[in-house]
Amino acid sequence: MPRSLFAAGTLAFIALTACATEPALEARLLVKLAQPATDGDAIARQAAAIAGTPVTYAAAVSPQWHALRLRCASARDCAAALQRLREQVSVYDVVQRDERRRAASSP
Amino acid sequence: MRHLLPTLAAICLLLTPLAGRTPLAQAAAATPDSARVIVKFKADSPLLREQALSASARHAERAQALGQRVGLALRSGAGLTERSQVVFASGIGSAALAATLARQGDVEYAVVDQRRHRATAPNDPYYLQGPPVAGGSGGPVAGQWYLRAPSGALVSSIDVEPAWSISTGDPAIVVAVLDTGARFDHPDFKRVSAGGNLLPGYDMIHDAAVANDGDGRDPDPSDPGDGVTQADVDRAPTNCKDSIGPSSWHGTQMIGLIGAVTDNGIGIASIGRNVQVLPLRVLGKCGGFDSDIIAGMRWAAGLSVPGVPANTQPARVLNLSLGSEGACTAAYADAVAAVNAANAVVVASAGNSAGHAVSAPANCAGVIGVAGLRHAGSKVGFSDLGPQISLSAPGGNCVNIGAGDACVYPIMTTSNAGATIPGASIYTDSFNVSVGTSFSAPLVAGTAALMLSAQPALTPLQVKLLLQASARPFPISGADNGSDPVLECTAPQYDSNGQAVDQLQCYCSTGTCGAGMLDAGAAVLAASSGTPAPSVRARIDIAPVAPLAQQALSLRATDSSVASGHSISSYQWELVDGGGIVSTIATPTAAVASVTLSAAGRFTVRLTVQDNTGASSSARLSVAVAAAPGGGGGGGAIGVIWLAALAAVVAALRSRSRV
Repeated sequence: MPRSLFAAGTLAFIALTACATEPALEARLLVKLAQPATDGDAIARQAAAIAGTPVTYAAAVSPQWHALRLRCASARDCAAALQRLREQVSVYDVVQRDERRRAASSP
Repeated sequence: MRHLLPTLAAICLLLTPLAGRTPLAQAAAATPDSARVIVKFKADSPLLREQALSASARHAERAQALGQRVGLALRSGAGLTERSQVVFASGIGSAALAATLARQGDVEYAVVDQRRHRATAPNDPYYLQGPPVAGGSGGPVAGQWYLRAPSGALVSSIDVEPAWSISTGDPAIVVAVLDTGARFDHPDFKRVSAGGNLLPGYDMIHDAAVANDGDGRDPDPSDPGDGVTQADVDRAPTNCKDSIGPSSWHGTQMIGLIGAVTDNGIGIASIGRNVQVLPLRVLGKCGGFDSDIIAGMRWAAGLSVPGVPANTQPARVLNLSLGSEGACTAAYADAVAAVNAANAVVVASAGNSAGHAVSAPANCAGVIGVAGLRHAGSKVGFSDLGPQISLSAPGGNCVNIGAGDACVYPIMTTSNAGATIPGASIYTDSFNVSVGTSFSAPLVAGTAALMLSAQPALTPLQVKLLLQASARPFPISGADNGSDPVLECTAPQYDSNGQAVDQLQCYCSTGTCGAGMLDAGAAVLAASSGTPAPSVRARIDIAPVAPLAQQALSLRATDSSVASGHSISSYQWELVDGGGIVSTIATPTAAVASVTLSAAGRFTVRLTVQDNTGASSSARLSVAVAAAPGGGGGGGAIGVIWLAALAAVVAALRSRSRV
């Protein structure tokens, strides 16, 4: 096997492996809709179209507040997607992280 | 005969208070009284101008006149003071009569004249003393010290027995516990369906991996355990880091403090006794997310959560023994406002970051944030603190123990022995210790529930203000434990780089730990007696929150609270102790004053605000000032000289190294 062919094959393998294992980040969000809605799928579709990244509907908090999950290739992509959502002020009153809380015991 | 008639009339009037009826009323008393209310007239009430000879006759005339005005046949009972008396009526309930009379313009207050019972300690054995200490279990010897009357070393005990003498909890009052769920099988718990006080509740966790029960939201808030393994961390490294450990049974611990079956001859007593408890699961493996916590808050208060059946028994009190560092978010601000508007009180723990700024959601407006106290009344080391705190309550402390020694003052409560999945039902003790501001919040939530049991018409703001007004003052001595002297707490401290600095045990002030130490007896008495809630409360905030030497620092009174219809008419700032770093306060009568910080150190100010009715409130705050970066703690000039000298030394060394 020519050395150049071996090298090309190795490179292709490495590239494919890298693609296959590229870690996808998940960002949990809370959005406050400018207009109350309850169709979770529609809320997620609209968010995905605006954010430019896959979005799944997580849960309802109220008719205005909903929890979503964004999938992004990197933290920078997540931040950019968040920014795109925040800029849509006619759709979203608020876009914020769905933060984690803990029990306040056993310090 | 002319002399006999007045004499008989006088005897009749004298006997009237004993009989609880006036002669006029006796004629109308064909039906039994269904309502019994204490009414107090305002000083300028026209009804006080009556000039009958005896007090009882004057009270009778006033009752009659008041009754005619509201269309009810009121009968006069015992007089309490010249302006207050008992009135009776039939065909109406006490609460409705009180509400009707309270609406009269010349009535200062009208409250139900409730039947009281002798205050007694419940027969739950651990109320007075925990189980014997043996083989690394048992205790605490002090039992449920935090509930009893303050005595000797027990300065922060909340004194609940006088509260129980007024109300042992109305089952109509529901307290929601938003936590890890409940172990319904604990022998000190009893479901409502079995004649107890534990409602079915709801599991609000939407993520099955967090819920650890195989599904998302469902109607079963049973706690399956929240223990975290390395596999859990590997699965969710971002959200689960630093979480490896056994199950906490935290929800069961909170529920026990508020609603364990009391006076049943086993285990512990709870504060709320007969109030109903609504368990809501919002925390699971590695904690819980705002989306579920806020959904739980809304649902608890009877507000809609799409996809979840309506809560038919809305809570009047929500307990959130949870949080994390950071500002109050828009989502929490929205939720708290909605829950308060639904007439529900929100109580939350300050957080356990060792004296850092108050956690969210305890730092949100409208929340009663609760800091933790040692038994001696000083701030317990782990508790966070700051101007957002409403008041403080015991959080448990162990008193300098060595490894394996018994913890002396934990907050004993119900729990479970399972390491991961549920095991035997147990109580925490001196070795399986429960401490944290988690335990401070339920003491306040339970007290709020008793207040509402005694006076259901109280608004969330009135509950908060009465809790604060009835709180006992913080001690300023007596907590030293033989090592370093205990100092007054300061506003959350930061180093020169803006990093939060721990602040362990310290003496609380009204600017750091709220209005005072929770006094359950005084709070419930204030609620039941119709004591008006204070109209104004002072609060001090500083900006920047991480002050540095050589800076100007703003002192803000703008978040002081004032009742609806009132306004703040004056502000007065005083320099209590300049500490050698502050000499004067600029604009000391403005809502926002300022000081210039000449160096690192600490100083203390006091703010007094007065409202348009003349009511006033004061707060005191000490502030720690860090050295400016590179300033070495001294003044700026010294810092510049020091830097110049350092530069000269570095230059000399570099030139030498080239040789």
